[in-house]
Amino acid sequence: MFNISDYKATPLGSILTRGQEEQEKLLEASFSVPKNIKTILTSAKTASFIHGLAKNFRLSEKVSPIIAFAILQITLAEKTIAQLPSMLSTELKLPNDQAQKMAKEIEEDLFAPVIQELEVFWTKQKEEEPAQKATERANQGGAKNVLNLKEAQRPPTPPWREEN
Amino acid sequence: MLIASTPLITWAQTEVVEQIETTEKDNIRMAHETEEQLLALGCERVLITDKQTLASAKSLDWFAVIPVDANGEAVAMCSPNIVQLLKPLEPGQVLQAGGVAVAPVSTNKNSGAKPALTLSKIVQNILESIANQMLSLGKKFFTAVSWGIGPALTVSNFTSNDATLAAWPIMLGIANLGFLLALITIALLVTLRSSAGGGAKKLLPRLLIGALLINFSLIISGAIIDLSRLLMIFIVNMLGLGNLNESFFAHIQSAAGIDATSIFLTQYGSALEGWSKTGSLFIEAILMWALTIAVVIMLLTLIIRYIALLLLVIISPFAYLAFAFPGAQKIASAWWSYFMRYVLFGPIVLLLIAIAVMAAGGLSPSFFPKTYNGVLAYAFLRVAIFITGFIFAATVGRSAGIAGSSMILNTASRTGKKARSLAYRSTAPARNVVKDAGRGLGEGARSRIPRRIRPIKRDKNGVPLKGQRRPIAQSLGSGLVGGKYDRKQKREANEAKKRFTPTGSTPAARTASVKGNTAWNPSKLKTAHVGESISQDNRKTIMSTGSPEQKTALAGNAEAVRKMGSSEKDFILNLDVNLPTSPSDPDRDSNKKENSINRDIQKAFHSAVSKLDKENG
Repeated sequence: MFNISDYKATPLGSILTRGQEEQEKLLEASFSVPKNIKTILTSAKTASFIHGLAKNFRLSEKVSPIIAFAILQITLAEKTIAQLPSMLSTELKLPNDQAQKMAKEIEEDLFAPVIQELEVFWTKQKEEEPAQKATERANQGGAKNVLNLKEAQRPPTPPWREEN
Repeated sequence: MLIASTPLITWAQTEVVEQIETTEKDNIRMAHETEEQLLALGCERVLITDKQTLASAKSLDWFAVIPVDANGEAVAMCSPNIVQLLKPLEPGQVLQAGGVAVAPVSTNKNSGAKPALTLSKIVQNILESIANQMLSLGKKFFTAVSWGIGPALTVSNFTSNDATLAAWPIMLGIANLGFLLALITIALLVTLRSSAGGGAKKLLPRLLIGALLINFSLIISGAIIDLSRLLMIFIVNMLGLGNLNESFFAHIQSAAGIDATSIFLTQYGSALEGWSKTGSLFIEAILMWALTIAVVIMLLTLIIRYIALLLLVIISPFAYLAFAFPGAQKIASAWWSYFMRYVLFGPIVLLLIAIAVMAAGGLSPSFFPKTYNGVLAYAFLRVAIFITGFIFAATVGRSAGIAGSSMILNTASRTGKKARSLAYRSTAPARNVVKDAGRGLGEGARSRIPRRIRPIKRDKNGVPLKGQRRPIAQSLGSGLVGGKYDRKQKREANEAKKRFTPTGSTPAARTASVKGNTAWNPSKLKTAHVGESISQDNRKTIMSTGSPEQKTALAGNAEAVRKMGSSEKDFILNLDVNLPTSPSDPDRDSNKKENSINRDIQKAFHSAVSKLDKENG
């Protein structure tokens, strides 16, 4: 039987706690994640790890989706791994030292086995990011006709140029 | 000179009649003569308070004759001889209530001419008499009804009422039987693993609380009603209105200003003659009846409140039963809403009536000109304030009661939730101990139950383990509660349930065979009944060898997803959505297509999960 609360404790399942538009955006973003990393994002093992983490830090199991969402944001390169302690501290209202400790555990137990693959993915994301963000920002600002020349296909060369 | 034998003549005369009528009713006569004229005839002036003289005069068969200029203090006691002397009337001068001319009218001894009884005068006298009767009746009605307001507000015997004492135990007995039914329903829900009404986890504590509180339903209702009565006493004391049962009536009477207004109107209207006098009498009667109607509306509202509260108290055991019964919580909240509404109605209405009474009573006649029209305007304004206040209290009191009750119920619900969560957290260690002990006991007991009766074994995700026979309870349950779907849906569900093995040697052929299975048509796979009934093996077959449309339909079916285990979920979420699509790749086009299909499946799955999440709240 499908267990929703366990699914919400997985990083991908944690998007259920967000609005419809954000859910779609994050789901779309998760498609570009490599297979091995995506398994971590959806696995029941990750949910158990997050539940255990919450229990160790004497937090309610209800905060699991919050931790899972922080992990998702880092995986999708929306936030950096250095930002994890401050995110946990703010979202879970944890003391700074506790948040640091929790972030370290996540880094070592969850990200470490796939860190090389993750770094490749993050680098790739960063390369694509500025162009994407420029278009997104322009569109959010109300502009509807901004053309990203970096991403746009090169127009065909006119025949007289080819001759030259 | 005349004496009218029975009908009421002026408002002031009726006042005198009302003061003495209890003792001297038979010997009262009203005259169109002044007191001075009656004394000149040999009558004696006796104070109304002098009951002894009045009684002795009665014993001598003397008549209490009320002069036309009566001031409410005294009457003229006339011997039968004098009354006899006055009796031979000159015909055609004054009209009695019944329209029979019995008395001469002329008081002007110097005037030799006797006024003729014209048709206009006859009509005028009839109307005056009707107006007088209306006025008198209205006043009596107003007095009776306004006397009832205080007791209707303070009525307290809701729980000690004979009707409650007789009917409540019967209701309690019936509701207790209902608890048995609720227990059986919850047992069935547990057997069938249904989550209707929130599941056994939610329903069992409710059942226990309801079963305990039902016996105190009368006491709880009584305590809440008493709280509202305390509030009413506080309001009365705060506004200095005295005792609700006794002095509140006097406050209403005084605020309506009937006596004061009547005296003023009579005083300033005594100069009126003919049709003006008739009109003035009608105006007085209309004002009187307007006041009466306002008080009647208020009294009726309070009587409805009393009856409604009484009924609600009597059926209160059912509110606690509904609280515990699966799917009947709405009835319980409706009972509480009505009960609090009518309980709060009392204090709110009392406050509004008190304000209206104080506002009307505070209006001083000194602001108005000392003329008939001025007094009439004063009377109008006073009556208008009184009526508006009463109608406002009756209508706004109800709305304010509704608002107040919903506010109280919301606050109670929020506090209850907080308390529940606090209690839940604080009992976590104890619950874990009980859970572990229960698990141990359960395992021990399970081994002693015959295989076909014991519940089927499930994995940690709740999915039944393979190779087990269906327990009897489940078979019976599905037979009994199979009414969720209609015949066509049941047929479709049964067809989709049938085991289907793909045929063909190549993957494409196998996909074609699955696609060709009409029971697994994508439009059918999207429906709840098919999603609910399709087996795990069939789901796996569809997800591995079905057509893209079939896969997307199944992954997007919330009922099918609800039944999926973790392996099925992982299979869907791990479908490759990033197959190589570089221009150099030979499978570029097919990979692109595959990526797109798999993304659609994952999106559909996510929307199904999202739907389930929303259902779970």
